[in-house]
Amino acid sequence: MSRVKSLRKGKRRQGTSIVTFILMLLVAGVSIYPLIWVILQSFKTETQFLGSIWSLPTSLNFDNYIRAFKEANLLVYLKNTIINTVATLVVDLVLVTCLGYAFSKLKMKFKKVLWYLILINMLIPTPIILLPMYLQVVDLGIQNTLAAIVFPYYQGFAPLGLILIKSYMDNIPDEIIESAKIDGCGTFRILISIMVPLVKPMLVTLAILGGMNAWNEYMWALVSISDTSKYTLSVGLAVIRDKIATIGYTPVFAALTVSAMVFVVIYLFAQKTFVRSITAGAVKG
Amino acid sequence: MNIKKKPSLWQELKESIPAYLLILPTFIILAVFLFVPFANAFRISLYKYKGYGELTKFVGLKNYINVLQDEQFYRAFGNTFKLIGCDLIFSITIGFILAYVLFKGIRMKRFFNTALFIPYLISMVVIGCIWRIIYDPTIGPLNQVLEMIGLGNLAQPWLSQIGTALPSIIVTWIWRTIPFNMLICYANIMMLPKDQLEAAQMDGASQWKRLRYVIIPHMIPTFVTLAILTVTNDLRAFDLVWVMTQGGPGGASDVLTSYVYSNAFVSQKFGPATAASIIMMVAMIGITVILQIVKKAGGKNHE
Repeated sequence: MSRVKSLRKGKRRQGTSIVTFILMLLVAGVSIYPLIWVILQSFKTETQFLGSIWSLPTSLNFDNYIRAFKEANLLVYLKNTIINTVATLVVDLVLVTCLGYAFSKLKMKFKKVLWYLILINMLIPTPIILLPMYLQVVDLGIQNTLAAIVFPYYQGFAPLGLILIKSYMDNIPDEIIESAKIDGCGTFRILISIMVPLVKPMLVTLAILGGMNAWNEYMWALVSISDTSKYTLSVGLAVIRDKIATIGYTPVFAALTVSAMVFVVIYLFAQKTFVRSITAGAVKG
Repeated sequence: MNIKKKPSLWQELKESIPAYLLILPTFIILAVFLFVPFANAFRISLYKYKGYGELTKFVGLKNYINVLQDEQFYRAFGNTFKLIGCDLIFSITIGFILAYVLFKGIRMKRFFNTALFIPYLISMVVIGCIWRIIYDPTIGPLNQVLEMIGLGNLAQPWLSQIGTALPSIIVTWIWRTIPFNMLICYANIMMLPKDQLEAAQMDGASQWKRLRYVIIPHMIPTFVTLAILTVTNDLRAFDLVWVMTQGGPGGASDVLTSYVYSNAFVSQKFGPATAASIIMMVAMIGITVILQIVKKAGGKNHE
């Protein structure tokens, strides 16, 4: 074992020539430069920016951020997005855990049919039910409420969430549940005090996937929210961008930086968890 | 499930009550926000409807005929497939090459890992806004770079020309999707059994041969999965297109979803828009079924 290791270590860098390295640097540059450029512009004054788009900011001035938050409503959009995302996550995690437990561990007549009824959603493209769903929301009189955002987001997330959590629960041995039953635990007690702690890692994965979905979602928010004070970041950014003529470019860069950095920062702090989650999410093909 | 004795249906239902209670909230939500709207979609597609009031003007299949006679629909369809085609070819290939280089080992690997993945962490809307500025004819970095390196005659208003709008969007789209393909390829190359690779190495197989005969065959199922994800994802492409061009200029960069969206919410033609989205769904289901069959066949070859 150790011999194999040392052998591999010795040969590890054999293949990467300096040409490959330089090419990779170029690719990495194309990959991150747009974001870096936007961040740099967000610290410049409007005159500096219009003077040259390549110059570096002379000081770390946060004026653009203050203007974006105050004059361009960024704070309102951010607050709405946080509320929507948190509420969606609560619904996502609670209901998907219930689903997973029912489908993985409980007796259920017509299980197959019910399973496909949830999964069929994956075949229905969002645009096809966009209009009827919008009419439904208007009919129910819940337009511009949290419910009109959270439930449709959950509806979109449920199939993937169910597949992931069910396969995770399938790996939990039935004996654990049987012995809890003998100890006198009821179905719901077992769910809360035994299953939930066991599936915690999967819940983190689901939170990342569901959180990204809810945070970034654009089409439904654009269609269903008519009250500008309820706009999310996605919808609001287009509004901010169209204000370039009045507030200038640089506050727009500040707003873009704030929106872009949220998941970049989370990623930098929890790289492994993040990568694991996205890889797990790819099973849905 | 139980082969012992067949309990009566009634008893089975009774035993299923806890499970039913747990899935009930989800089914209520699905009924309200999916099943009913879905059924309504078919109804609306048979009417002339402006988005409010009762459905009164029954027009039968006229909406479908209108859509199928609309040149713009075919244009949007074609554009969607151009997007899918380019994404399949470039994004997966580049993603795999990057993953392979990372797998072989490179100095500053952690830096590359992070830097190459960053575009995926930014939402399509933010990316659309950023790239719209990049393509901007006056303050956009792209044209300025072209001028700096002496290719100033190539500088042009990328997003407001019929010929360049869609290709520009596709380039941005690929830029955003590469990191995901890279990540999945990387995760799967890492699962390659080490002894296989080492055996090949012992046999004196060249690097190219190892790639050709060991790594790529191992990756085929991954490529199929990525292709399926790419197709289903790209068929829904909306955010980037809408933020960058709204399907313009003159519908030159319309994709299926932006076509449906602008028909419904800009032109208030809900009937034809719904008809178009149903046609789209049929196409999507068809493609999904074909892909699943391909996947099954591909999987069998590699068992």
